[in-house]
Amino acid sequence: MFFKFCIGLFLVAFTVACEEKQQINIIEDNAHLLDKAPVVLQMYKDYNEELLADFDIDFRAVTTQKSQDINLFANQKFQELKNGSRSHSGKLLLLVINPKTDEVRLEVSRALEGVYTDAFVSYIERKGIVPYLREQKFADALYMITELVRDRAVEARAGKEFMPAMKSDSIGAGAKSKANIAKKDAHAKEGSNVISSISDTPKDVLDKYIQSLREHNKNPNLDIYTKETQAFFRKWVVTDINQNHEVDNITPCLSKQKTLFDTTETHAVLAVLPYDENRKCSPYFFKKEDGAWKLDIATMAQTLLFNKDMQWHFDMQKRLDKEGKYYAYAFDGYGFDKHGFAFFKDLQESKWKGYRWGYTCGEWYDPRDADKLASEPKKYIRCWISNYAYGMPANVRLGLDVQDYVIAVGEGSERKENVSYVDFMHYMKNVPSGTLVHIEVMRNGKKIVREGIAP
Amino acid sequence: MRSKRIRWFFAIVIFFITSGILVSAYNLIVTKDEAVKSAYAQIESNLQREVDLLPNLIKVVQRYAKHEEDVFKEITALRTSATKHLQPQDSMEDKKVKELSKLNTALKNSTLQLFMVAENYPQLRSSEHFLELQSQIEGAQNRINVARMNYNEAVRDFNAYIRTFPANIIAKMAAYTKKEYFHADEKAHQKFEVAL
Repeated sequence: MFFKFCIGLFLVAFTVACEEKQQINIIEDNAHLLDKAPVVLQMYKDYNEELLADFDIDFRAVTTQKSQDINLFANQKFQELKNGSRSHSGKLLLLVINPKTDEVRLEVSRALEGVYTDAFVSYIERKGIVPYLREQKFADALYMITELVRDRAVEARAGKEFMPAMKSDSIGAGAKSKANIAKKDAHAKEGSNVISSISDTPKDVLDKYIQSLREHNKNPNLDIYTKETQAFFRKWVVTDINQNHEVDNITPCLSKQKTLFDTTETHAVLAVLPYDENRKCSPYFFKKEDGAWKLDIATMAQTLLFNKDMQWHFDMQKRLDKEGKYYAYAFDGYGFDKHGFAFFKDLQESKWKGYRWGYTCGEWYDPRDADKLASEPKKYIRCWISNYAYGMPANVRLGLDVQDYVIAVGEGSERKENVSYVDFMHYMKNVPSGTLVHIEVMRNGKKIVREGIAP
Repeated sequence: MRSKRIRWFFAIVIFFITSGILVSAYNLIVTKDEAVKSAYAQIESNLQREVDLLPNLIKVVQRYAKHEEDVFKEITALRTSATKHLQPQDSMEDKKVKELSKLNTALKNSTLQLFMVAENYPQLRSSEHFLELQSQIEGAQNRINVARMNYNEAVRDFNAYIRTFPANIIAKMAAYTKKEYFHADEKAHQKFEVAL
């Protein structure tokens, strides 16, 4: 009887402990600032979990509307949270945003005091998150500070700066800054124009861009940008820290970059090859506008993502969208895994060598055409993609996938609906190199359009 | 004969119990006294940290605001006086706590005055070096606040304990007296509060 009672008690205690673990909330949004950007917020939460897993740093965020002194509030909140800290070595950070007093404070635990010094915290608050708070992009501000905290943690680990494990405690370390919420900075997007001349190569344009980053030039209308990029930067928050990071990341790659032009010389990619061995050197996209090469950051922002180790990969949903398809040629010979990381595919020894597109068709027909099949099979038998080769244009440039049922090809007056197997193969074989291929396929019951430049 | 032995036995037991209670009360007083001293040392070390940062701050401000001689002289004098007060001493008299409390307020007001001066010099206000020093000084002041709260809590705990029985007897015998709280002059602080 007693034994059963003990087991029962243990199970109850275990369940309560598990529930308690699930209830830990890394954000207390008492001021309701963070409910407008669920996607960025989820990215922040994922990043936050990685920070805990990699560095044992428990990073919490609280928003409040209390009139209390933010230093005192942060310290009291810290004392509350430290008992439920997820860190086993006393590494706790607490970000407080108070829109009422218009202040922000990052409270730092004793174990992290040597790594996140007051001056450093003040710097990342002023330069890293206040620009986002000015634009009321609260979730972005959270994400940004987590990224900066992680970058510093990486440096600290390399330099063995972390203190030995200790109890979670705060003696008031950290810094507070004026948040300037919703107070747009009139000088935030200032900077003298940087011109891209007709004789400039993409490399010259990139050099000019790097110089503008070094000078913290935040003018969105620089002549070295494409029109889309100018529109993108007019809406995008750029901070000194972002610009410094980009300079730091690109500098080691500059000497290794090669320029890859498309056949029409309207697009170019500055790439460090092979891509899979240089994942920290992201490709840079350029487009010719008004006769001069311009940097296409808008398309880079749409198609490229970076993981926590600053390795680039494609957003596979957006890689070929809009202008993205015009840069796909630069990735011929590479496959992409499910996360969008490029991997080299040696096609020299493969059976696909010499093929133009690198796909095979299976046959299908519409059941409504069943009675006509016997008399006119060429007209009614259609194509579904039964196989494709990684690194070949069908996949790289068009993003075709197995089980894509081809419905139509071409655009405008040249569009062919209910395209047959024969016509599809004919279209793919004869489409002139450098022109835009337009294919409509049925994928998982949905009609989607695949577009790409013919090799 | 037997009852005499029993009486002796009880007398010895009572003696040991009483001694135990008194010794434990004494030990607890010592522990709480040490907690107060340790909290006080935290205030001192953070004050020292703030004082150490002042020369650099003055240098940076002087570069941009050469005509604010009065402020610089005042802070330099205060720093010299603070250095004397912060000399390591074994005793922690009430007088010293009061002096330190005054010094803390004076330092806070003077640095705020310096930050107010900076308000008039936009180049200084946006100087990265100045902002770095400002955050360090504010950090030291915040640490002093936290240490002050911890100190006052330790003092409250100590003072309350030496009033309880039998600790009051032991405290009197061992010359432990009520300790002084570390007061912050909030009014003076508010007077100089500026948005930086």
